Amino acid sequence: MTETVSVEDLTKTYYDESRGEVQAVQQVNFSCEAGEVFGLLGANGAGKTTTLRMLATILAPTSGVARIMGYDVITEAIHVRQSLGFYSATTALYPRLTAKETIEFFMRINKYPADKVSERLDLLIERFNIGDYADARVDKLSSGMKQKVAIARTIAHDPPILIFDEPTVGLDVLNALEMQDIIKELKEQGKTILFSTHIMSEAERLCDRIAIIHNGQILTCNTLDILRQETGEHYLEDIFLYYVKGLS
Amino acid sequence: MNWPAVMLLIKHEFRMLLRDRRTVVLAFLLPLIMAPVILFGIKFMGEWRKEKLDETVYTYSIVGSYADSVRAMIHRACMLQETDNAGTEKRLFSFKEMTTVDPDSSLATGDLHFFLRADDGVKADSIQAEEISREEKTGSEDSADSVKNVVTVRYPGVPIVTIYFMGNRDGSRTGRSRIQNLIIDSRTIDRQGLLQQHGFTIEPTNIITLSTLDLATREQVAGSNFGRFITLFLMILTLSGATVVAMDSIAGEKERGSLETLLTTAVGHMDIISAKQMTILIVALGIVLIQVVNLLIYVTLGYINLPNDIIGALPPQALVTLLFLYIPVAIVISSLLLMVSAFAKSYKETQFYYLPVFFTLCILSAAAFLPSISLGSFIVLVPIANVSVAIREVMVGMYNWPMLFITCFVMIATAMYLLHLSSRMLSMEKLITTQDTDEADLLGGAALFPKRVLIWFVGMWVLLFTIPANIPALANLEGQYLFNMFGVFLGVSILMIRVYRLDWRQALAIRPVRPVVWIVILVLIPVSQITGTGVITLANEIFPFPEELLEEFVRQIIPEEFPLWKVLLMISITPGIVEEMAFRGVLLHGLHRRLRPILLVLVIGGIFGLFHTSLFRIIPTGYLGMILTSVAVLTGSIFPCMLLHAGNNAFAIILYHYGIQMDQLTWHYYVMSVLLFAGSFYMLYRFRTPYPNLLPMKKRQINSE
Repeated sequence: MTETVSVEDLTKTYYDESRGEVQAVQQVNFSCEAGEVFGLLGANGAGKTTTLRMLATILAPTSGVARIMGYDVITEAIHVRQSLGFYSATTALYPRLTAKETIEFFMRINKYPADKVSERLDLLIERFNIGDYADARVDKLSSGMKQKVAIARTIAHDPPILIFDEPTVGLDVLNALEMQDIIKELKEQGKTILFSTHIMSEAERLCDRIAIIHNGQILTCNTLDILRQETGEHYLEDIFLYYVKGLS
Repeated sequence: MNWPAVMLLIKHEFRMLLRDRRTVVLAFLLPLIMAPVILFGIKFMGEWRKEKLDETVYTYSIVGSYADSVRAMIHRACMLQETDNAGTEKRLFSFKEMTTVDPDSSLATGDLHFFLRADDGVKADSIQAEEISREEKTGSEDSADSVKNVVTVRYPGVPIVTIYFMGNRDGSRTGRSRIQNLIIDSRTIDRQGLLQQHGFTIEPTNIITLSTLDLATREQVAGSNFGRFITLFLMILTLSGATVVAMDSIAGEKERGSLETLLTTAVGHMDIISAKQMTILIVALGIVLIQVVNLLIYVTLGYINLPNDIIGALPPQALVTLLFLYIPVAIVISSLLLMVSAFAKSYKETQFYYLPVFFTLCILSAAAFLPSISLGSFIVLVPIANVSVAIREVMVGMYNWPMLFITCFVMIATAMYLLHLSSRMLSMEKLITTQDTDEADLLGGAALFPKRVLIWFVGMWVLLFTIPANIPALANLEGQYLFNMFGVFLGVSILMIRVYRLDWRQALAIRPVRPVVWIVILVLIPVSQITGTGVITLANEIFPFPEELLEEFVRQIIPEEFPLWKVLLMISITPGIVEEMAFRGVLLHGLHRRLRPILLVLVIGGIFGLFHTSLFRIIPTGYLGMILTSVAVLTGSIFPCMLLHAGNNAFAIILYHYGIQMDQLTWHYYVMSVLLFAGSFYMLYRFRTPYPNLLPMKKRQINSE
């Protein structure tokens, strides 16, 4: 298998006026392979989003090294971003563009070959069933429709790595399940998926490997079966508590 | 630069811009509609007002012993006007004399537009004598609240005519002006008659013929008038259009959450910033161009009356140069607005920052109004102000090419720097991430202090400048000393420590220092004074201030009637203690986790300078403030700062007391002082015990772009 993501001693320190130095992420290490769904499981404020934002080059690491498809997130940020699609609850769409314009814009800005734009656009519109409202402005769409457009724009340039930061937050059950189906489908296409969540059932259902992150540190990282063996617990919720409580 | 990506982003920006009704209305339609509406309104109101005032029959009355003579004067002047204006369309003003018992109340109720009190010479003499006697008794010059034009020289026996009117009423004010002109005309005729009666057979106008000849060309005169205001005018137009676009550009995207999406795409931050900047620039220049064309149309239609037919008189090459010079201004404005938009966390926050930016830009662009300032001075290095002066010079045909080149260089360098700053702001996590909570607001107390300390200092500054000036008991030096030192600096510092429950040892930097520091400080006392004099000399080259003003200031601050010990106590020892408690104590404590050390030194030094009352003291005291803050940062203690501050002030007082002039020093002293200064700071650095928990000097950035 090909290693697509490698993270070594990745650290992020904030300077907070009131709290002083805050270590949001502390010497995190992991790697991912093509066709793998890697889950970051942690409570709110554990450091999941900060880790994924560093991988997406939105935030600069304080120390450590991270590589996406062999590109360094600090020195080769543009190549890194070209190789990934980033989806989170905070990454919004442009309300004044239509669904079609949105997908096309993100394809072009991410340097998808110009001669193939039209073909892929049709493919994505068909895959996500957004043909009926492809020419409607995003601000007129329902949240379910927006979610489909947002996923389509994330994978618009067909990147090998996809980062989903708590993708089901705020979604109803049906839309959350659809999101899970899409992630499975992308995995089958050989994409590497980095997935963060605090919902245990999601992680159980989707992830090949799970890293439990707490207070900026990865407490453990393994497949669900091995985690069960190591802890003697069956449910991921109990496994999570085993590590988190064990630390405290 | 990735040009295809930049072009794609510009297209994308315009697509979104033109689909936003709010932006289109505020940035494009409103300025286009407002200009003709305002101009038409002003023209209509002006004409309507003039017509009304022309149609008005001004009612007045005349009282006093000399009333008949004045009545005759007015009548004569009216007759003369009728004769002069016969056959022309020039309107005559209508006056109607009314009879009233109490002209004061008739004026107050509006029955009269004005009234005249005319007293013959004898009566006028007695009134004047009464007034003088009353003034001598009361000691005041004029106890009345009304504004009165006082006749300063009056020969005995000369009649007095006083026009009473209400300055807050258009009709009263205009009527007063017109009747006054009539009386002056009549007085001129009478004077000529008197001269002729006493043997002067020629008319006074034939004694000497006075004429003026303007050697400037019509273009130069027009350019001089036009060049003064055009930068300011264009600045306001540019800001009117570009601000809405800039606000929406980054702050709007942050608010909508689409900025984070854009930042995860395969374009560089600099490409994103450049595209946004170009969009703002295109809009700004487009709006300026449209507005200027608009205005030219209104000039042609006669809505605007420009003096000397300015536009027509300007040579085309001057207009081309104007456009060429204005492009860097537009680039700087768009970069600055973009930076504000990048710095703010939300659309709303951008609006807070916009007003000071607007005023600063307007002040800079009004530099052309400064008399006798040329481009060949320090102004060439001040962005925007340099273009303002350059445009004024170019408009009168002065092309100082080397200075114009430097102006363009300064503007382009400024724009590039601002773009670089904007680009860096896209890497600042505090500005990108939306989830960071202001925990300090919840925690309160010491956690909240860093966020509030500057507000306290603004309050202290306001107190310092308003209270002593408005309370007579505090207006003298001793009153100011007591209020400023103990009321403001000491009192408010203690109040801050108590309100925010600060640890007083930490807040005031009460820490021991190494013995070598005291020796270094003793060396720094004369050295900082001499280098400070050098700074004043340099500052004087840039902002010259009158020698008399300086001497008067020194006399005020070091009064000769005070004994030396008292001056030392008031100017040296007390400020050395209490000002240090405020600035190197609580202010430094409040800001040390917010600013990196170099910025900390600059900001606290600058604030220290701003607290010293007069404009020309800001630079030297700011310089001293920076030295003192550097000492505090390196030693971590307030005590060396107290000694240096008090020593510096005492050194200056003693020199003044013994009549030693520091500005007479030769360059050898300055060189020696600079060397000693550098050596002293090396020693402080070598034996440093830094202020605790300072931020690091540099921050790691994403720099691949």
